[in-house]
Amino acid sequence: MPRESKEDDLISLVYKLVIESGDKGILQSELWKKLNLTSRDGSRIATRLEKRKLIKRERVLEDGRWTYRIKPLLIPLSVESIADAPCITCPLFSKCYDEGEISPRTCTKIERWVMSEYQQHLVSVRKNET
Amino acid sequence: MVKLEYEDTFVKVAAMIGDEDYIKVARAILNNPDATDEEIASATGLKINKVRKVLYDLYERGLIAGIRDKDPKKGWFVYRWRIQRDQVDVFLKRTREIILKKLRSRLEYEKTHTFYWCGTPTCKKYTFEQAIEYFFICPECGNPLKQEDNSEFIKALEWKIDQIIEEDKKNEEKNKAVQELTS
Repeated sequence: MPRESKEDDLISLVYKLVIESGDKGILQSELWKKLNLTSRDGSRIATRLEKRKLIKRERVLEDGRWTYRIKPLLIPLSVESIADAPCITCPLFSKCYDEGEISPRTCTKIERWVMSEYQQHLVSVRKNET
Repeated sequence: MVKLEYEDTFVKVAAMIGDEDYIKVARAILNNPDATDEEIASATGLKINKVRKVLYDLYERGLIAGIRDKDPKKGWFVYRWRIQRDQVDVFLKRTREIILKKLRSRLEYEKTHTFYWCGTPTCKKYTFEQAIEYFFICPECGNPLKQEDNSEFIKALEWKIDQIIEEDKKNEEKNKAVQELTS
């Protein structure tokens, strides 16, 4: 397995914690402690996120020692509501219009997608109620 | 879809238009800005032709840009790839609008018609007029067409439309928050 994909879960986790820290940011040492990371591994991940322009590191003096405070630079947009929409990859997309042979009015893919997500939503609502 | 909540929007968009390989290529471009096809292939472990196919698709959709460069060792021309970050947001906004338009059209159609269906998931539903034309027999599978209660589907469509609008509003709030963070 390439090294790139091994680190990606950890990168997402670090990014999540940085976003959750809000505009105050989080001390690098605090973050590594939370994730049980060595400062070498932590710094490598922070560099990756910095390279992707998702975070910034500010040098701060904390308890008489120089360290870094990590702040988010970019908050990822949510795409969950349309992520699995069949239209995005539909080969008939260019032929699909209201009055056409291929139409959103009669598309079975749209119906299956909307119904399946609605049913998942109802299940999660019921779960939360119990 | 793979869980990508705390991923760059570019990776999320790549996952929307393709498979796991799209996610790998998108992450590689993020990690190595201005990487060549070969460098991306080596970082992802994917075959070069697969990498090129994904890059071409992302390029066609305006999500990445290719910069022509001369390879100093080999002397031939290579392309270096980088994200068009502003285009990622545009792509997302445009896709959301297109899907909303289709869903609204479907909702209107469902609300104003009575439908007949054979019950086969892959077969279409027919309006009353169409069902008469087919003598109430499904032209696709041959099963009888029966009147279909679409009230649940109407509810589902209304829910989906609201969910997409709500998500868009939240994204705008996030964009505002980012502007405040970076100002």
